[in-house]
Amino acid sequence: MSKLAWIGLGLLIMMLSAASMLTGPISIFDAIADWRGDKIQEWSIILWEIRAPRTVLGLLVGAALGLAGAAMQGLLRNPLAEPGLLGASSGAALGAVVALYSGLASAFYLALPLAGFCGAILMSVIVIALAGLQAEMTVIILAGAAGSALCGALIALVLNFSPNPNAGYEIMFWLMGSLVDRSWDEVYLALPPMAAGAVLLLFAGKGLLAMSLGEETAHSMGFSPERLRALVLIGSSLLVGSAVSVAGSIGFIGLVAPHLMRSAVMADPRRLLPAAALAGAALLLSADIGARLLITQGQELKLGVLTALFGSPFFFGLVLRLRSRGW
Amino acid sequence: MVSLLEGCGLSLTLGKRQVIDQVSISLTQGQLTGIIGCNGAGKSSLLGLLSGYRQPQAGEVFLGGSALTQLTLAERAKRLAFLPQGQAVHWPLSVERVVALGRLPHSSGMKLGAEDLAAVNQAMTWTNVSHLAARNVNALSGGERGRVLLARALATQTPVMLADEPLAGLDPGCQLRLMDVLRGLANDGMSIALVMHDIGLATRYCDRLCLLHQGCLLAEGSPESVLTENNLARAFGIKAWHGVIDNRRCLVPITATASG
Repeated sequence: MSKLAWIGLGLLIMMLSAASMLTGPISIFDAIADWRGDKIQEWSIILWEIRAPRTVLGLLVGAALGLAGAAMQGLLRNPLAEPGLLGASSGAALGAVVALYSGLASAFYLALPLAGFCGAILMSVIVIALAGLQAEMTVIILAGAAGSALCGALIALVLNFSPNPNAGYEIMFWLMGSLVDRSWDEVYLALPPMAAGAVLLLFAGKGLLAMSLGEETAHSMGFSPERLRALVLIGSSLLVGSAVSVAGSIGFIGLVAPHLMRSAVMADPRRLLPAAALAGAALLLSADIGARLLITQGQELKLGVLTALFGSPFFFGLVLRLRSRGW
Repeated sequence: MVSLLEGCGLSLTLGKRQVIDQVSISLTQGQLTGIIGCNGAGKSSLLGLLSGYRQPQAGEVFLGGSALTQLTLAERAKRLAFLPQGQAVHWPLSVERVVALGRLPHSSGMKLGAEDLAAVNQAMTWTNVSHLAARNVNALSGGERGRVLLARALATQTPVMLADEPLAGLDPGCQLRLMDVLRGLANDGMSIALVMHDIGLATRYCDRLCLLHQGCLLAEGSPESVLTENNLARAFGIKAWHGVIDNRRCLVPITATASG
């Protein structure tokens, strides 16, 4: 990827951030029109307390999902691997659902993301411990699939037992993913584990590049496949766990962002890591701006719905391209 | 002669099967060693042990006098290059990028230095893939890809190289040219071990042969002393013609007598 392309991507993110700060029910024009009144003060509060954390969180969540997706695809050497493969997203969803069902979420403001994060980490630990780092990747994927299926079943169970329909709706809406009403608290909560996860994955970059030629070659070039698995699996779990715990389940970003950037970095798995993170941030922020513009029955469209709506046609396109000339 | 890589009393069991049984092998400086044997004799497993990818149940591997287990992976990578058998390239990388991966053990940054670039270009010239530099490696033919992957191992510029069937899928001209290159590198002091199936080429180019049979070392030494009528019949179930053409040793398999 040329310097110009990196700068272009950076500029796009800055423009999207500005658009995100200006998009919402109260526009900058209303504030300017009434600049002597309370509107300007109200608008500055909206800007700093609502839109700024939402924008930052959107960038962070998108970057986390894009980065984790690129790392998982590099580790598995498969363009269809997604960051939640290890069960971190379903673990986070289960943790959050338990917090909502038990009433913990309404008793303590940050209980929901905290429970989600704990669920993600717990699930990842179970899956890694069950499969072991020395196991073939297929065994680890199988363990992740089993863990995700169990979490899915438990979420459905909680929904079935939910005491009133409202709790069920609340759970369902949370699962669809959203950045509505997020504050700086969520940013502060998600940032440390995301930063730790990102550092781990960026350390794995060179090994992922060597892994392009298979485990035996990577080993002979000085990279331990077990260490690489540990770095990527723990790093992705931290990223996905913290992303899902503050924004709910958001699909496709982790899959689409690496795909979009792969040819730009000439398929280099190391360069793909920062590129997919930036693309993920841009994609999620665009989706969030879209969600704010498409208000349905007084409510914003859920983010997960929007990413899936735009993500799946992208995959249909990919299928057609694969059919004609391979990736 | 200096032994650069030595495996002492190596044994390996995969599942319930003993694939390598008490094999000792020494690769000396300036020698081209051929590891031969029928399918399933344990050649690739032996290379896996020598490269350190597999851990032996018994025995130990020494690289330049130090136990392999005492060296870090990064230290090993600077001294020992390994080309596994029939490997795939999992991403559509360019040929030049794949060959440049051979410099990963030496470079820390994203960009290659002048020395790295020289090594990459040299390796691509040796294997005759320079004209393919910008092509997607997965769009090449099997033989071309094989040459690119060998170039990757050669670009590492280590004193020892292990290569598992580097000649597989190559046309006769390419095979001879590559063997000439490897012979030249050995003459310059490199220690190279190749797993190969063409015993004719092994006879012509190798200084020493190690003949594996059912995980054991059946014979080791000069090609004449290893490829005897008895050993060929026992290891491969073949009879062969030995001779000299243009002052070069030649061996041509003639008949298959029984299953090897």
